[in-house]
Amino acid sequence: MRRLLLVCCLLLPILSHAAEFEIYQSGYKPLQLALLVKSASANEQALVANVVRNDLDSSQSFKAMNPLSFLDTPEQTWAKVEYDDWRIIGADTLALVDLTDTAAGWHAEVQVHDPFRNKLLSTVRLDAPHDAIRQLAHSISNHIYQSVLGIPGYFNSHVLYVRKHGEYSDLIYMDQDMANQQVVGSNFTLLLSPDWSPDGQVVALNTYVGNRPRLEFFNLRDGSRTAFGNFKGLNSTPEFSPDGRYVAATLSYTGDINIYIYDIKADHWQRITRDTAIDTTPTWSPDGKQIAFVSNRTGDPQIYRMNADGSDVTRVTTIGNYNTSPVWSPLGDRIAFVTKKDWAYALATVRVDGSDIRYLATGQQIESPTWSPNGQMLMYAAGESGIRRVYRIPAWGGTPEAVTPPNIDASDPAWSRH
Amino acid sequence: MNSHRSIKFAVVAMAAAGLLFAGCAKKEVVSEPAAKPTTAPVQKTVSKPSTISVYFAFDKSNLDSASQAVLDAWATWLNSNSTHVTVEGNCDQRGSREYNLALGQRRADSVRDYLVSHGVSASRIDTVSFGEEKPVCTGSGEACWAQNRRADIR
Repeated sequence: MRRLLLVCCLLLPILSHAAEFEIYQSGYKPLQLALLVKSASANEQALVANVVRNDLDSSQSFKAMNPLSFLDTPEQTWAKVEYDDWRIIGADTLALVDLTDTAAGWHAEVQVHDPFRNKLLSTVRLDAPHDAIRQLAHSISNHIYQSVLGIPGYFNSHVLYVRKHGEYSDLIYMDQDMANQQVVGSNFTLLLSPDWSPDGQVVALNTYVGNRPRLEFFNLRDGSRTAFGNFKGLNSTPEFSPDGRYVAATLSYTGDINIYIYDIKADHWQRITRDTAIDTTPTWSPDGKQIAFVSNRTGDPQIYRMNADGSDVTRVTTIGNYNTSPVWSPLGDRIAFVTKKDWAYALATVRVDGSDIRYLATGQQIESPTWSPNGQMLMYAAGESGIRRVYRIPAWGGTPEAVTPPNIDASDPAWSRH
Repeated sequence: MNSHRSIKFAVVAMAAAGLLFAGCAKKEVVSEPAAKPTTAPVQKTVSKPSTISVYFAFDKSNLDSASQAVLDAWATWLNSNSTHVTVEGNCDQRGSREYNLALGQRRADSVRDYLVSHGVSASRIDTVSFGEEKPVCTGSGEACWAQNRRADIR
Protein backbone atom coordinates (compact mmCIF):
# COMPACT_ATOMS: atom_id res chain seq x y z
CA MET A 1 0.00 0.00 0.00
CA ARG A 2 2.76 2.37 0.95
CA ARG A 3 4.60 1.55 -2.23
CA LEU A 4 1.48 2.21 -4.27
CA LEU A 5 1.10 5.58 -2.60
CA LEU A 6 4.69 6.44 -3.40
CA VAL A 7 4.17 5.54 -7.03
CA CYS A 8 1.06 7.72 -7.12
CA CYS A 9 2.97 10.63 -5.62
CA LEU A 10 5.72 10.26 -8.19
CA LEU A 11 3.26 10.13 -11.05
CA LEU A 12 1.17 13.02 -9.88
CA PRO A 13 3.40 15.89 -11.07
CA ILE A 14 3.77 14.25 -14.45
CA LEU A 15 0.07 13.75 -14.92
CA SER A 16 -1.01 17.05 -13.41
CA HIS A 17 -0.48 19.18 -16.53
CA ALA A 18 -2.80 17.08 -18.61
CA ALA A 19 -5.23 16.75 -15.73
CA GLU A 20 -6.01 20.48 -15.79
CA PHE A 21 -7.48 20.38 -19.27
CA GLU A 22 -9.77 18.01 -21.05
CA ILE A 23 -7.97 17.46 -24.32
CA TYR A 24 -10.25 17.72 -27.33
CA GLN A 25 -10.74 14.47 -29.23
CA SER A 26 -12.40 14.73 -32.60
CA GLY A 27 -12.85 10.98 -33.01
CA TYR A 28 -11.44 11.33 -36.52
CA LYS A 29 -9.60 8.28 -37.80
CA PRO A 30 -6.94 8.92 -40.43
CA LEU A 31 -7.80 7.64 -43.91
CA GLN A 32 -5.74 4.62 -44.96
CA LEU A 33 -3.70 5.71 -47.97
CA ALA A 34 -2.26 3.34 -50.57
CA LEU A 35 0.37 5.31 -52.49
CA LEU A 36 1.90 3.85 -55.65
CA VAL A 37 4.69 5.75 -57.37
CA LYS A 38 6.24 4.36 -60.51
CA SER A 39 9.20 5.77 -62.35
CA ALA A 40 12.16 4.64 -64.44
CA SER A 41 14.33 6.67 -62.04
CA ALA A 42 14.61 4.69 -58.82
CA ASN A 43 16.08 7.51 -56.69
CA GLU A 44 13.42 10.03 -57.64
CA GLN A 45 10.70 7.40 -57.32
CA ALA A 46 11.78 6.78 -53.70
CA LEU A 47 12.19 10.49 -52.98
CA VAL A 48 8.74 11.45 -54.25
CA ALA A 49 7.10 8.50 -52.48
CA ASN A 50 8.80 9.47 -49.20
CA VAL A 51 7.93 13.15 -49.41
CA VAL A 52 4.27 12.49 -50.28
CA ARG A 53 3.90 9.81 -47.62
CA ASN A 54 5.51 12.04 -44.99
CA ASP A 55 3.36 15.05 -45.97
CA LEU A 56 0.09 13.17 -45.77
CA ASP A 57 1.05 11.26 -42.61
CA SER A 58 2.10 14.46 -40.87
CA SER A 59 -1.30 16.03 -41.57
CA GLN A 60 -2.76 13.20 -39.44
CA SER A 61 -5.63 13.17 -41.94
CA PHE A 62 -4.07 10.18 -43.68
CA LYS A 63 -2.07 7.12 -42.68
CA ALA A 64 0.16 5.74 -45.43
CA MET A 65 -0.10 1.96 -45.69
CA ASN A 66 2.83 -0.39 -45.90
CA PRO A 67 3.33 -1.29 -49.61
CA LEU A 68 4.02 -4.89 -48.52
CA SER A 69 0.27 -5.26 -47.93
CA PHE A 70 -0.59 -4.29 -51.53
CA LEU A 71 -2.02 -7.10 -53.70
CA ASP A 72 -1.33 -5.38 -57.03
CA THR A 73 1.86 -3.90 -58.51
CA PRO A 74 2.02 -0.28 -59.74
CA GLU A 75 2.14 -1.55 -63.33
CA GLN A 76 -0.99 -3.72 -62.91
CA THR A 77 -2.80 -0.86 -61.19
CA TRP A 78 -1.90 1.69 -63.84
CA ALA A 79 -3.23 -0.76 -66.45
CA LYS A 80 -6.49 -1.38 -64.54
CA VAL A 81 -7.59 -0.46 -61.03
CA GLU A 82 -9.11 -3.48 -59.27
CA TYR A 83 -11.08 -1.72 -56.53
CA ASP A 84 -11.78 -5.06 -54.77
CA ASP A 85 -8.05 -5.58 -54.24
CA TRP A 86 -7.75 -2.20 -52.49
CA ARG A 87 -10.96 -2.50 -50.47
CA ILE A 88 -9.90 -5.88 -49.13
CA ILE A 89 -6.75 -4.42 -47.58
CA GLY A 90 -8.72 -1.45 -46.24
CA ALA A 91 -7.37 1.32 -48.47
CA ASP A 92 -9.66 4.36 -48.14
CA THR A 93 -7.65 6.28 -50.72
CA LEU A 94 -5.59 4.96 -53.62
CA ALA A 95 -3.13 7.42 -55.15
CA LEU A 96 -1.20 6.59 -58.31
CA VAL A 97 1.78 8.62 -59.45
CA ASP A 98 3.67 8.12 -62.70
CA LEU A 99 6.88 10.12 -62.66
CA THR A 100 8.86 10.68 -65.86
CA ASP A 101 12.08 12.53 -66.60
CA THR A 102 11.66 14.86 -69.59
CA ALA A 103 13.98 17.36 -71.24
CA ALA A 104 12.11 20.21 -69.54
CA GLY A 105 12.08 18.63 -66.08
CA TRP A 106 9.98 16.18 -64.09
CA HIS A 107 6.50 15.28 -65.24
CA ALA A 108 3.97 13.57 -62.97
CA GLU A 109 0.61 12.05 -63.80
CA VAL A 110 -1.53 11.63 -60.71
CA GLN A 111 -4.76 9.70 -60.17
CA VAL A 112 -6.70 9.62 -56.94
CA HIS A 113 -9.27 6.83 -56.40
CA ASP A 114 -11.82 6.01 -53.72
CA PRO A 115 -11.94 2.17 -53.71
CA PHE A 116 -15.02 2.08 -51.44
CA ARG A 117 -16.99 4.13 -53.95
CA ASN A 118 -15.41 2.48 -57.03
CA LYS A 119 -14.57 5.96 -58.13
CA LEU A 120 -11.78 7.93 -59.78
CA LEU A 121 -11.83 11.18 -57.79
CA SER A 122 -9.40 13.17 -59.93
CA THR A 123 -6.50 13.18 -62.33
CA VAL A 124 -3.85 15.84 -62.76
CA ARG A 125 -0.64 16.42 -64.70
CA LEU A 126 2.12 18.33 -62.90
CA ASP A 127 5.48 19.59 -64.16
CA ALA A 128 8.52 20.95 -62.36
CA PRO A 129 12.11 21.88 -63.23
CA HIS A 130 14.75 19.28 -62.48
CA ASP A 131 15.88 21.07 -59.33
CA ALA A 132 12.37 21.30 -57.90
CA ILE A 133 11.43 17.69 -57.39
CA ARG A 134 10.55 18.17 -53.72
CA GLN A 135 8.15 21.00 -54.64
CA LEU A 136 6.64 18.68 -57.25
CA ALA A 137 6.16 16.01 -54.57
CA HIS A 138 4.48 18.60 -52.29
CA SER A 139 2.18 19.58 -55.17
CA ILE A 140 1.25 15.90 -55.56
CA SER A 141 0.46 15.80 -51.82
CA ASN A 142 -1.69 18.93 -52.19
CA HIS A 143 -3.59 17.31 -55.03
CA ILE A 144 -4.28 14.08 -53.15
CA TYR A 145 -5.28 15.99 -50.00
CA GLN A 146 -7.68 18.29 -51.84
CA SER A 147 -9.18 15.50 -53.96
CA VAL A 148 -10.14 13.49 -50.89
CA LEU A 149 -10.84 16.13 -48.25
CA GLY A 150 -12.05 19.01 -50.43
CA ILE A 151 -9.67 21.37 -48.61
CA PRO A 152 -6.56 22.95 -50.18
CA GLY A 153 -3.28 21.39 -49.05
CA TYR A 154 -0.50 23.34 -47.35
CA PHE A 155 2.45 21.18 -48.33
CA ASN A 156 4.30 23.81 -50.37
CA SER A 157 4.28 26.26 -47.45
CA HIS A 158 7.27 27.34 -45.35
CA VAL A 159 8.00 27.99 -41.71
CA LEU A 160 10.29 30.45 -39.96
CA TYR A 161 11.45 29.96 -36.40
CA VAL A 162 13.94 31.51 -34.02
CA ARG A 163 16.99 29.63 -32.80
CA LYS A 164 18.54 31.17 -29.71
CA HIS A 165 22.14 30.52 -28.74
CA GLY A 166 23.55 32.41 -25.79
CA GLU A 167 22.84 36.12 -26.23
CA TYR A 168 22.03 35.81 -29.92
CA SER A 169 19.15 34.64 -32.05
CA ASP A 170 19.02 33.39 -35.63
CA LEU A 171 16.07 33.34 -37.98
CA ILE A 172 15.71 29.89 -39.55
CA TYR A 173 13.70 29.10 -42.69
CA MET A 174 12.48 25.64 -43.62
CA ASP A 175 9.88 23.92 -45.74
CA GLN A 176 6.85 22.81 -43.71
CA ASP A 177 8.26 19.25 -43.71
CA MET A 178 11.51 20.45 -42.07
CA ALA A 179 13.53 20.04 -45.27
CA ASN A 180 15.66 22.82 -46.77
CA GLN A 181 16.67 24.41 -43.44
CA GLN A 182 18.52 27.70 -43.91
CA VAL A 183 19.77 30.40 -41.58
CA VAL A 184 18.29 33.49 -43.24
CA GLY A 185 19.21 36.01 -40.55
CA SER A 186 21.80 35.67 -37.81
CA ASN A 187 23.07 37.30 -34.63
CA PHE A 188 20.00 39.30 -33.70
CA THR A 189 20.04 40.51 -30.10
CA LEU A 190 16.71 38.95 -29.19
CA LEU A 191 14.28 38.18 -31.98
CA LEU A 192 10.60 37.96 -31.18
CA SER A 193 7.28 37.54 -32.96
CA PRO A 194 8.40 37.16 -36.60
CA ASP A 195 5.46 37.44 -39.02
CA TRP A 196 5.44 36.82 -42.80
CA SER A 197 4.11 39.40 -45.17
CA PRO A 198 1.29 37.88 -47.25
CA ASP A 199 3.55 37.84 -50.35
CA GLY A 200 6.22 35.90 -48.44
CA GLN A 201 9.00 38.41 -49.23
CA VAL A 202 9.33 40.27 -45.94
CA VAL A 203 9.23 39.39 -42.24
CA ALA A 204 8.10 41.89 -39.61
CA LEU A 205 9.84 41.26 -36.30
CA ASN A 206 10.73 42.68 -32.90
CA THR A 207 14.43 42.88 -32.08
CA TYR A 208 16.66 44.88 -29.75
CA VAL A 209 19.40 47.24 -30.86
CA GLY A 210 21.54 48.81 -28.13
CA ASN A 211 19.22 47.31 -25.50
CA ARG A 212 16.19 49.07 -27.04
CA PRO A 213 13.32 47.19 -28.63
CA ARG A 214 12.28 48.09 -32.13
CA LEU A 215 10.22 46.79 -35.02
CA GLU A 216 11.95 45.90 -38.25
CA PHE A 217 11.15 44.62 -41.70
CA PHE A 218 13.57 41.85 -42.59
CA ASN A 219 13.83 41.28 -46.34
CA LEU A 220 14.08 37.54 -47.04
CA ARG A 221 15.58 38.09 -50.49
CA ASP A 222 18.56 40.27 -49.63
CA GLY A 223 18.69 40.10 -45.82
CA SER A 224 18.31 43.86 -45.42
CA ARG A 225 16.78 45.25 -42.22
CA THR A 226 14.62 48.38 -42.05
CA ALA A 227 13.36 49.81 -38.74
CA PHE A 228 9.74 50.97 -38.88
CA GLY A 229 8.86 51.20 -35.18
CA ASN A 230 11.43 52.75 -32.88
CA PHE A 231 9.51 54.54 -30.14
CA LYS A 232 10.18 55.10 -26.47
CA GLY A 233 9.03 52.03 -24.55
CA LEU A 234 7.49 48.96 -26.17
CA ASN A 235 7.67 48.20 -29.89
CA SER A 236 6.32 44.66 -30.05
CA THR A 237 4.07 41.98 -31.58
CA PRO A 238 3.87 43.04 -35.24
CA GLU A 239 1.35 41.32 -37.52
CA PHE A 240 0.70 42.13 -41.19
CA SER A 241 -2.86 42.80 -42.29
CA PRO A 242 -4.15 40.17 -44.75
CA ASP A 243 -3.73 42.60 -47.69
CA GLY A 244 -0.17 43.42 -46.62
CA ARG A 245 -0.81 47.19 -46.45
CA TYR A 246 -0.67 47.55 -42.67
CA VAL A 247 1.10 46.15 -39.64
CA ALA A 248 -0.69 46.05 -36.28
CA ALA A 249 1.63 46.20 -33.26
CA THR A 250 1.98 47.27 -29.62
CA LEU A 251 3.51 50.63 -28.62
CA SER A 252 3.72 52.39 -25.24
CA TYR A 253 5.30 55.79 -25.93
CA THR A 254 2.26 57.64 -24.53
CA GLY A 255 2.74 55.86 -21.20
CA ASP A 256 -0.13 53.45 -21.90
CA ILE A 257 0.32 50.13 -23.67
CA ASN A 258 -1.94 50.15 -26.72
CA ILE A 259 -2.56 48.64 -30.15
CA TYR A 260 -1.49 50.75 -33.13
CA ILE A 261 -1.67 50.25 -36.89
CA TYR A 262 1.20 51.19 -39.17
CA ASP A 263 0.36 52.19 -42.76
CA ILE A 264 3.40 50.93 -44.66
CA LYS A 265 3.05 53.11 -47.76
CA ALA A 266 2.23 56.29 -45.85
CA ASP A 267 4.82 55.51 -43.12
CA HIS A 268 2.22 56.53 -40.56
CA TRP A 269 1.14 55.08 -37.18
CA GLN A 270 -2.40 55.30 -35.89
CA ARG A 271 -3.50 54.53 -32.35
CA ILE A 272 -6.39 52.03 -32.18
CA THR A 273 -7.02 51.27 -28.48
CA ARG A 274 -7.08 53.95 -25.81
CA ASP A 275 -7.55 52.42 -22.38
CA THR A 276 -4.94 52.48 -19.62
CA ALA A 277 -4.64 48.68 -19.23
CA ILE A 278 -2.23 46.47 -21.18
CA ASP A 279 -3.47 45.93 -24.76
CA THR A 280 -1.14 43.78 -26.86
CA THR A 281 -0.72 40.96 -29.41
CA PRO A 282 -3.06 42.16 -32.19
CA THR A 283 -4.13 39.59 -34.79
CA TRP A 284 -6.22 40.33 -37.89
CA SER A 285 -9.33 38.51 -39.02
CA PRO A 286 -8.76 37.09 -42.54
CA ASP A 287 -11.04 39.72 -44.10
CA GLY A 288 -8.98 42.46 -42.41
CA LYS A 289 -12.07 44.02 -40.84
CA GLN A 290 -11.45 42.99 -37.23
CA ILE A 291 -8.54 42.65 -34.82
CA ALA A 292 -8.36 40.32 -31.81
CA PHE A 293 -5.94 41.19 -29.01
CA VAL A 294 -5.10 40.60 -25.36
CA SER A 295 -6.09 43.07 -22.67
CA ASN A 296 -5.93 42.96 -18.88
CA ARG A 297 -8.58 45.70 -18.55
CA THR A 298 -10.61 43.52 -16.17
CA GLY A 299 -7.53 42.62 -14.10
CA ASP A 300 -6.22 39.53 -15.86
CA PRO A 301 -5.32 38.89 -19.48
CA GLN A 302 -8.26 38.00 -21.70
CA ILE A 303 -8.86 37.96 -25.45
CA TYR A 304 -11.02 40.62 -27.06
CA ARG A 305 -11.92 41.53 -30.61
CA MET A 306 -12.84 44.85 -32.17
CA ASN A 307 -13.30 46.49 -35.53
CA ALA A 308 -9.98 47.46 -37.11
CA ASP A 309 -10.77 51.13 -36.34
CA GLY A 310 -10.97 50.30 -32.61
CA SER A 311 -14.76 50.43 -32.33
CA ASP A 312 -17.07 47.79 -30.90
CA VAL A 313 -14.72 45.98 -28.48
CA THR A 314 -16.15 42.57 -27.50
CA ARG A 315 -14.68 40.13 -25.00
CA VAL A 316 -14.03 36.69 -26.53
CA THR A 317 -12.66 34.46 -23.73
CA THR A 318 -14.72 34.10 -20.56
CA ILE A 319 -13.31 30.91 -19.06
CA GLY A 320 -10.06 31.01 -17.05
CA ASN A 321 -8.03 33.94 -15.75
CA TYR A 322 -5.07 33.87 -18.14
CA ASN A 323 -5.77 33.78 -21.88
CA THR A 324 -3.09 35.17 -24.20
CA SER A 325 -1.29 34.96 -27.58
CA PRO A 326 -4.35 35.03 -29.86
CA VAL A 327 -3.91 34.15 -33.54
CA TRP A 328 -6.92 34.40 -35.84
CA SER A 329 -7.44 31.34 -38.06
CA PRO A 330 -7.11 31.93 -41.81
CA LEU A 331 -10.62 30.39 -42.07
CA GLY A 332 -11.94 33.13 -39.78
CA ASP A 333 -14.09 30.97 -37.53
CA ARG A 334 -11.66 30.38 -34.65
CA ILE A 335 -8.88 32.01 -32.68
CA ALA A 336 -5.96 29.95 -31.38
CA PHE A 337 -4.57 31.07 -28.03
CA VAL A 338 -2.60 29.99 -24.98
CA THR A 339 -4.40 29.50 -21.69
CA LYS A 340 -3.22 28.79 -18.15
CA LYS A 341 -4.87 26.92 -15.32
CA ASP A 342 -3.08 26.25 -12.01
CA TRP A 343 0.35 26.56 -13.65
CA ALA A 344 -0.38 24.23 -16.52
CA TYR A 345 -0.59 25.74 -19.97
CA ALA A 346 -2.60 24.67 -22.96
CA LEU A 347 -2.80 25.47 -26.63
CA ALA A 348 -6.49 25.98 -27.34
CA THR A 349 -8.85 27.33 -29.98
CA VAL A 350 -12.15 29.11 -29.43
CA ARG A 351 -14.90 30.29 -31.77
CA VAL A 352 -14.79 34.03 -32.32
CA ASP A 353 -18.01 34.35 -30.27
CA GLY A 354 -16.21 32.76 -27.29
CA SER A 355 -17.95 29.39 -27.45
CA ASP A 356 -16.66 25.84 -27.90
CA ILE A 357 -13.12 25.98 -26.47
CA ARG A 358 -10.94 23.09 -27.62
CA TYR A 359 -7.80 22.30 -25.62
CA LEU A 360 -5.32 20.71 -28.00
CA ALA A 361 -2.00 20.29 -26.14
CA THR A 362 -0.72 20.97 -22.64
CA GLY A 363 2.65 21.55 -21.01
CA GLN A 364 4.86 23.54 -18.65
CA GLN A 365 5.34 26.25 -21.23
CA ILE A 366 3.34 26.71 -24.43
CA GLU A 367 3.70 29.75 -26.65
CA SER A 368 3.45 31.39 -30.09
CA PRO A 369 0.77 29.46 -32.00
CA THR A 370 0.72 29.83 -35.80
CA TRP A 371 -1.80 28.44 -38.32
CA SER A 372 -1.12 26.53 -41.50
CA PRO A 373 -2.37 28.47 -44.55
CA ASN A 374 -5.42 26.18 -44.85
CA GLY A 375 -6.37 26.50 -41.18
CA GLN A 376 -6.11 22.75 -40.53
CA MET A 377 -2.83 22.63 -38.58
CA LEU A 378 -1.10 24.62 -35.86
CA MET A 379 2.52 24.93 -34.86
CA TYR A 380 3.60 26.25 -31.47
CA ALA A 381 6.67 26.30 -29.24
CA ALA A 382 6.68 24.24 -26.06
CA GLY A 383 9.32 24.12 -23.36
CA GLU A 384 10.01 21.27 -21.03
CA SER A 385 12.83 21.66 -18.50
CA GLY A 386 14.18 24.73 -20.22
CA ILE A 387 14.42 23.32 -23.78
CA ARG A 388 12.00 24.74 -26.31
CA ARG A 389 10.96 22.90 -29.45
CA VAL A 390 8.46 23.66 -32.17
CA TYR A 391 5.55 21.23 -32.44
CA ARG A 392 2.82 20.64 -35.01
CA ILE A 393 -0.71 19.44 -34.26
CA PRO A 394 -3.99 19.25 -36.21
CA ALA A 395 -6.33 22.09 -35.26
CA TRP A 396 -9.11 19.49 -34.94
CA GLY A 397 -7.20 17.52 -32.29
CA GLY A 398 -4.46 14.96 -32.59
CA THR A 399 -0.96 14.15 -31.47
CA PRO A 400 1.72 16.85 -31.09
CA GLU A 401 4.82 16.08 -33.16
CA ALA A 402 8.14 17.89 -32.71
CA VAL A 403 9.44 19.56 -35.87
CA THR A 404 12.72 20.90 -34.45
CA PRO A 405 15.52 18.81 -32.93
CA PRO A 406 15.98 18.56 -29.14
CA ASN A 407 19.51 19.98 -29.19
CA ILE A 408 18.57 23.54 -30.20
CA ASP A 409 16.45 26.17 -28.48
CA ALA A 410 13.65 26.79 -31.00
CA SER A 411 10.77 29.23 -30.59
CA ASP A 412 8.47 31.68 -32.38
CA PRO A 413 7.35 29.55 -35.33
CA ALA A 414 5.69 31.53 -38.13
CA TRP A 415 3.89 29.69 -40.91
CA SER A 416 3.87 31.32 -44.33
CA ARG A 417 0.47 32.52 -45.56
CA HIS A 418 0.57 30.42 -48.73
CA MET B 1 21.82 58.14 7.16
CA ASN B 2 22.00 55.65 10.00
CA SER B 3 20.55 58.00 12.54
CA HIS B 4 17.83 58.93 10.05
CA ARG B 5 17.03 55.29 9.56
CA SER B 6 16.93 54.54 13.30
CA ILE B 7 14.54 57.40 13.81
CA LYS B 8 12.41 55.91 11.09
CA PHE B 9 12.47 52.50 12.74
CA ALA B 10 11.51 53.98 16.05
CA VAL B 11 8.64 55.76 14.39
CA VAL B 12 7.48 52.59 12.68
CA ALA B 13 7.72 50.71 15.99
CA MET B 14 5.70 53.38 17.65
CA ALA B 15 3.15 53.29 14.89
CA ALA B 16 2.90 49.53 15.19
CA ALA B 17 2.49 49.79 18.91
CA GLY B 18 -0.15 52.39 18.31
CA LEU B 19 -2.04 49.99 16.08
CA LEU B 20 -1.71 47.17 18.60
CA PHE B 21 -3.24 49.33 21.28
CA ALA B 22 -5.61 51.04 18.94
CA GLY B 23 -8.14 51.43 21.70
CA CYS B 24 -5.99 53.87 23.62
CA ALA B 25 -3.78 55.19 20.83
CA LYS B 26 -3.76 58.89 20.21
CA LYS B 27 -3.96 60.02 16.62
CA GLU B 28 -1.08 62.47 16.87
CA VAL B 29 1.38 59.67 17.63
CA VAL B 30 0.69 58.02 14.29
CA SER B 31 0.52 61.10 12.14
CA GLU B 32 3.43 62.95 13.69
CA PRO B 33 6.39 61.39 11.76
CA ALA B 34 5.17 62.66 8.41
CA ALA B 35 5.81 66.16 9.66
CA LYS B 36 9.53 65.60 10.14
CA PRO B 37 11.20 64.70 6.83
CA THR B 38 14.69 66.09 6.95
CA THR B 39 16.65 65.55 3.79
CA ALA B 40 19.05 68.48 3.89
CA PRO B 41 21.69 67.02 6.21
CA VAL B 42 21.40 63.60 4.55
CA GLN B 43 22.11 64.79 1.01
CA LYS B 44 25.83 65.35 1.53
CA THR B 45 26.50 61.72 2.44
CA VAL B 46 24.11 60.03 -0.02
CA SER B 47 25.73 57.16 -1.86
CA LYS B 48 24.36 55.17 -4.77
CA PRO B 49 21.98 52.48 -3.49
CA SER B 50 23.50 49.02 -3.67
CA THR B 51 20.15 47.30 -4.20
CA ILE B 52 19.23 47.69 -7.85
CA SER B 53 16.25 45.31 -8.07
CA VAL B 54 12.67 45.39 -6.92
CA TYR B 55 10.43 42.34 -7.18
CA PHE B 56 6.83 41.67 -8.18
CA ALA B 57 4.09 39.07 -7.77
CA PHE B 58 3.01 36.96 -10.76
CA ASP B 59 1.15 39.03 -13.39
CA LYS B 60 1.42 42.13 -11.16
CA SER B 61 3.20 45.44 -11.55
CA ASN B 62 2.36 47.13 -8.25
CA LEU B 63 5.12 47.98 -5.75
CA ASP B 64 5.03 46.47 -2.27
CA SER B 65 6.47 48.21 0.79
CA ALA B 66 9.86 46.50 0.43
CA SER B 67 10.12 47.78 -3.14
CA GLN B 68 9.05 51.24 -2.08
CA ALA B 69 11.82 51.29 0.56
CA VAL B 70 14.38 50.42 -2.15
CA LEU B 71 12.98 53.10 -4.43
CA ASP B 72 12.95 55.70 -1.66
CA ALA B 73 16.71 55.26 -1.42
CA TRP B 74 17.00 55.65 -5.20
CA ALA B 75 14.82 58.75 -5.16
CA THR B 76 16.99 60.26 -2.47
CA TRP B 77 20.12 59.50 -4.42
CA LEU B 78 18.73 60.71 -7.74
CA ASN B 79 17.54 63.91 -6.10
CA SER B 80 21.07 64.55 -4.87
CA ASN B 81 22.71 64.38 -8.31
CA SER B 82 21.82 64.60 -12.00
CA THR B 83 22.44 61.02 -13.13
CA HIS B 84 20.36 59.42 -15.87
CA VAL B 85 19.04 55.88 -15.19
CA THR B 86 17.35 53.10 -17.13
CA VAL B 87 14.73 50.91 -15.50
CA GLU B 88 14.58 47.40 -17.00
CA GLY B 89 11.37 45.42 -16.48
CA ASN B 90 11.51 41.62 -16.45
CA CYS B 91 9.16 38.66 -15.99
CA ASP B 92 9.45 35.01 -15.12
CA GLN B 93 9.27 32.56 -17.99
CA ARG B 94 5.73 31.43 -17.32
CA GLY B 95 2.90 32.71 -19.43
CA SER B 96 2.86 34.43 -22.76
CA ARG B 97 6.11 35.94 -24.01
CA GLU B 98 4.28 38.70 -25.86
CA TYR B 99 2.13 39.57 -22.86
CA ASN B 100 5.20 39.40 -20.63
CA LEU B 101 6.90 42.05 -22.79
CA ALA B 102 3.99 44.36 -21.97
CA LEU B 103 3.99 43.33 -18.30
CA GLY B 104 7.74 44.01 -18.05
CA GLN B 105 7.09 47.49 -19.50
CA ARG B 106 4.38 48.01 -16.89
CA ARG B 107 6.83 47.05 -14.13
CA ALA B 108 9.48 49.43 -15.43
CA ASP B 109 6.85 52.16 -15.79
CA SER B 110 5.59 51.73 -12.23
CA VAL B 111 9.15 52.12 -10.92
CA ARG B 112 9.57 55.23 -13.04
CA ASP B 113 6.23 56.65 -11.88
CA TYR B 114 7.17 56.07 -8.24
CA LEU B 115 10.50 57.87 -8.67
CA VAL B 116 8.78 60.72 -10.52
CA SER B 117 6.23 61.04 -7.70
CA HIS B 118 9.21 61.39 -5.37
CA GLY B 119 10.63 64.33 -7.20
CA VAL B 120 12.83 62.78 -9.91
CA SER B 121 12.37 64.28 -13.36
CA ALA B 122 10.83 61.82 -15.84
CA SER B 123 13.32 62.97 -18.47
CA ARG B 124 16.10 61.35 -16.44
CA ILE B 125 14.50 57.91 -16.44
CA ASP B 126 14.40 55.58 -19.42
CA THR B 127 12.38 52.39 -19.33
CA VAL B 128 12.81 49.17 -21.27
CA SER B 129 11.14 45.77 -21.05
CA PHE B 130 12.89 42.50 -21.73
CA GLY B 131 9.80 40.43 -20.91
CA GLU B 132 10.94 36.96 -19.99
CA GLU B 133 13.97 37.09 -22.30
CA LYS B 134 16.64 37.94 -19.72
CA PRO B 135 16.13 35.73 -16.67
CA VAL B 136 18.75 35.93 -13.92
CA CYS B 137 17.71 32.45 -12.82
CA THR B 138 17.12 29.92 -15.56
CA GLY B 139 15.78 27.03 -13.48
CA SER B 140 12.18 26.47 -12.50
CA GLY B 141 10.32 26.72 -9.22
CA GLU B 142 9.01 29.74 -7.36
CA ALA B 143 12.40 30.55 -5.76
CA CYS B 144 13.82 31.00 -9.24
CA TRP B 145 10.78 32.62 -10.85
CA ALA B 146 10.54 35.18 -8.03
CA GLN B 147 14.05 36.42 -8.86
CA ASN B 148 13.05 36.95 -12.47
CA ARG B 149 9.92 39.00 -11.76
CA ARG B 150 11.85 42.19 -11.21
CA ALA B 151 12.78 45.65 -12.34
CA ASP B 152 16.44 46.65 -12.31
CA ILE B 153 17.66 50.23 -12.10
CA ARG B 154 20.89 50.82 -13.96
